[in-house]
Amino acid sequence: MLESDVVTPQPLLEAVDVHRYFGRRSPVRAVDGVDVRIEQGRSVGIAGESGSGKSTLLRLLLRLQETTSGTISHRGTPLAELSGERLAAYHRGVQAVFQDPGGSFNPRHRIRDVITEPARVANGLSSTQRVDLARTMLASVDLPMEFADRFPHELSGGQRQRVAIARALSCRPEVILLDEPVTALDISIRGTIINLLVDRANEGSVTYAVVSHDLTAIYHMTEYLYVMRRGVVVEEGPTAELIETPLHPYTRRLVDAIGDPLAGHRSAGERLADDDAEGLDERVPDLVEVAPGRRARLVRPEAAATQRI
Amino acid sequence: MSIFTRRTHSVPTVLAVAVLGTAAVLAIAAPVFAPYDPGTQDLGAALLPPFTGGHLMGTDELGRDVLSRLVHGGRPIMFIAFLSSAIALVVGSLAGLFAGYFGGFAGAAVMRLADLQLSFPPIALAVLLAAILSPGIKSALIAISLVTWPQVARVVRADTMRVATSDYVLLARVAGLSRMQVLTRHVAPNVGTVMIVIGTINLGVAVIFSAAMSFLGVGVQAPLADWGNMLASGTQYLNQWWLVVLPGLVITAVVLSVSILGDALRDRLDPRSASGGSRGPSVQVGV
Amino acid sequence: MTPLLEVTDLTVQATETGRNVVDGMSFEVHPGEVVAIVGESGSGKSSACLSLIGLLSRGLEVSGGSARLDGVDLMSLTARDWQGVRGAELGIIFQDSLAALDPVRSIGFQMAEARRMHGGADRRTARAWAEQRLEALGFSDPPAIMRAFPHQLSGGMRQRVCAAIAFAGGPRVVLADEPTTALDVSLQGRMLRLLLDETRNAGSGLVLVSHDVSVVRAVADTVIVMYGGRVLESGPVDAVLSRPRVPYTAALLESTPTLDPERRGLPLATIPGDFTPHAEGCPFRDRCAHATPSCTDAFPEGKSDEDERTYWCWNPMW
Repeated sequence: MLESDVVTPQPLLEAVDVHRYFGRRSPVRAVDGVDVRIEQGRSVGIAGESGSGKSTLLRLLLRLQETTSGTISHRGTPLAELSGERLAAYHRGVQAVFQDPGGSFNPRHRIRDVITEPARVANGLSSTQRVDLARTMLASVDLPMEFADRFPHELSGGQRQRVAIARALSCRPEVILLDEPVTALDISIRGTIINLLVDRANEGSVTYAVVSHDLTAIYHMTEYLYVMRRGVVVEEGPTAELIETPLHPYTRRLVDAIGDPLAGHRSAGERLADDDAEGLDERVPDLVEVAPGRRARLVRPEAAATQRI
Repeated sequence: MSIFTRRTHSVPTVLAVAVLGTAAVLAIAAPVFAPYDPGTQDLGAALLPPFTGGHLMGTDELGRDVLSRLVHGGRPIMFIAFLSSAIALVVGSLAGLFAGYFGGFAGAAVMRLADLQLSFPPIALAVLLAAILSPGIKSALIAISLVTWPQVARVVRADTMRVATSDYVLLARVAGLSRMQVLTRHVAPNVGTVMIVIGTINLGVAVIFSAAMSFLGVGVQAPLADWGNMLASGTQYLNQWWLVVLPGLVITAVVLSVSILGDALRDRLDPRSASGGSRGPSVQVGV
Repeated sequence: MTPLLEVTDLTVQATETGRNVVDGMSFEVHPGEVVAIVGESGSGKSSACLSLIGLLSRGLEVSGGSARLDGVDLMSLTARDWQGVRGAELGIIFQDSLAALDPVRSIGFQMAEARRMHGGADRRTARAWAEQRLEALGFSDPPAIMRAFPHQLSGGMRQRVCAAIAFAGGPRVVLADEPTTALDVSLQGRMLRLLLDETRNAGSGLVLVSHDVSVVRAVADTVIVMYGGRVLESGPVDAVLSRPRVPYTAALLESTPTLDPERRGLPLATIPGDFTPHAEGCPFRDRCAHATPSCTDAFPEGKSDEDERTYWCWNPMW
């Protein structure tokens, strides 16, 4: 097979060696050298807990903040160079759904204004068009059309999240970045939202980047996973493999905690440790390929080979 | 606007509206309501207590009818207070929105200017201005606007910063709106309730300043009737209690009413608060 | 064993609408026992918890039933009585540790204050106690933490401090309202371990309110499943969560997303519809696959079985 036969398409969004520091004197290194690729048709998960930098990374990908160093590109064009029509195309192509509760919508706007905002900015709509579009979007996420006249606080959390998804989909984006999309919802309805999102992705029309500390949502929605801790990626690889056979101890801890919240603390009176006691400097081992398709920062990468099934 | 059709008014709010409404009406149509001309002197009927000689609220040291002077006295005070607090509200809000949303060097500069302004004792500043510009309504207007805009700016800036970090503001940017569009469409309206509250509080402050300046003789000048200078001259006649107590009561009532109204307006205008907007969500909060 | 806390027929009503947000709830807490109340939004679990310690928000009030702590009826306490009960007899841990702590007082001050007010110690003894507790809690530099302020600690550290404060007065029962929900998942185990150890060591009782079934399964002895203000099922955690009788419990367990490789790629189970409050009948009927007309007419009587569980359902799963 000739090299030239293999054509790698431009990723929808790509972050290359991105750093984001806050503050001047002893800066907080929120994101400290991260590479992430979101390719069409391959939904990506970015897992991590507080302080991991995942939310900052999300905001960088959404062009809501600027990188301290490193580049983020949309279809090959660095975000910092976008302007005019290309900037508009970026906004049409990249949308977001945030966590809610309560904060994702302007409390003074009715649902019909909220749900059609991206479309209005992209195309400009007359007021009848606005109402029609709102109704269509509501129907597409199984919400009654009367909701168009309501205010956000009159809807439940699950209903608001569906509105947020409909809004994100209204411009037919290529990629939707989701920040903790189901964390604030009741457990019994998380499935509804995840199913809705997965259906849309399966229809071929949209790719996701899901940022969450909830591995179960990521497990069901994504094909590739980055695990972040303290500003760096500690492990990455295909989602199912990573979760079924984690190689990095932090990933393993996250996975174990899901089925069993007491994992690691089963015995009574175990000496509890400070949060920072296991203060490894995450950056010390490099991020290298430790198994085919799997990269991780391991102190002893060779040991990983023995952990494969 | 639907706020006027709300049924759930509390007693203080109703009273406040009544007081302010009356003050406004009297101020506007003073000649209609005042039984006498406020400037007419009648030295033979000086210092009459209330309810004597056809004077409901008595007369002052020059025989002028107190009630008529009170009715007319609202005009300059209200005019100065409204106009100066309107100016302060506009200037302060623009400054606060700008500083809160765009921040950076320019935003910090605006706030430092506000701080500078606040470091001047207000009454001293008013007196200084009166000395420079010659006392009267114009200098009172300028002085009060200058003195009250920084507080508006501070409060507006703080709330702008709160709103600017909301998810929906970020999502509006993700939708493609420019920063200016986000500021006008999403940030300013949500800061609006704060502006109304600080605006009405400020109005109360402006009324006090206005009266204080007249009291000190640097505001409205005699013989023009004004609650402040009525209070001032009344202090020389403490035995004639009505010359001090009545203007004082009127000032207090107006300021209190303005502040109650500010509270009530804020409650009405927030679509999420219990007494405003439509009835709450179908899912109970905190259950 | 006499129960530490005995709740009988507790009913909490919203004053404006008259709706019962908690409707006829009964349970007991024994020494060393962890009782979990599990439910989703609208279930009433938080209101039930707050009503026990007299901290219901305005607009909610206890309209019926009783809660006896060591024989004292909590519902009959005046505001002054509560001062002697809260902290000393009944402790509480909230979800938001930052809001629960005074931002302008040091950690040492707040812990010592709790110990002084409810444990009866003097200032020096209280501070010594606080420093010793911090060491036992695993903090590597207790004096530094004593001097620190709440915002300087991480969420996990703060929540541990809140737990220490809750247990400071040696209360008979501690209420914990979603104590781990705001914590990182890798820190939940530590917090739960702490709660378990404190409860077992002191022989007190723990009432744990949570929406997370796996947390409940890990730490609870008894579980109470609530929906729409009603208790639908309660009993030993193993019986209720492994062999639920009530459709809601089964549906809740079924719809909890897991990392099961067999389920990946398949649509997730879910409970259709949204919570709608109902005054009569079973609150879950609109969303229940087993509902029959009798579910709309009246709320069923409770039945017990040999597993020592009680359930309220016209059409139980078995």
